[in-house]
Amino acid sequence: MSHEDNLNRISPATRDVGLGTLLQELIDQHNALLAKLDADTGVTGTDYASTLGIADLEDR
Amino acid sequence: MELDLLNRSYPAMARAKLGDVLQELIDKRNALLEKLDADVLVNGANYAETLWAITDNPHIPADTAAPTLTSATIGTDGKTLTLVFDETTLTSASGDYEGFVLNVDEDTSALSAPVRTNGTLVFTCVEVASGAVCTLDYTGADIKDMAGNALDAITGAAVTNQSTVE
Repeated sequence: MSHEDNLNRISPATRDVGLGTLLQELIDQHNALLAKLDADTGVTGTDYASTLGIADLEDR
Repeated sequence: MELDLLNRSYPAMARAKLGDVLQELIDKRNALLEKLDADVLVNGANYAETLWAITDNPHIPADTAAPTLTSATIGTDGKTLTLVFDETTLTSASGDYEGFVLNVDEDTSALSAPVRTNGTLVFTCVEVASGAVCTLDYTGADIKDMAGNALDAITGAAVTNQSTVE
């Protein structure tokens, strides 16, 4: 079972909140924001994703 | 907040390193805000000031040190005064960064409306000739760092004059 599913199933509260899914979504959205900034030609930096990216739950 | 506790609370949390994940999210989000502030092509300059996460984290030592001026330089064009501070993010309640006075030989000149980048204020000043002796004064409580520590008054700080104007 994935870390995401495990976190979702710790307790009724984490299941109701979807803790693992919520965390993975935060990570996904953070990484998507970094990719968007890298692709934005109106922004100087192009190393947002490479320097500030966060590993998926499953990669830990 | 002791996030490390979450690494040990349940086996599932330990396997996912929940505390580490949350801390990394917080740290990298805050780092992103600083990077956006530092990006000169991004219009906003207050990402970190307004969106910093977990400001009340007791494990982050409180910053009680006032920002200090580390260098003041007249550029080679004689019209640019660059002030560098030891903190990357300064705020001004008025937004004007007022209170600085440049002393050039016997004359004084008030400075206002600098261009601000990380920890640096760049003013347009009266033309300063090569060899002129310059000092800087600052009075006021308007300029503060991220923790709210005000810049102390500055009196007669040495200004490096790199002007090549004759």
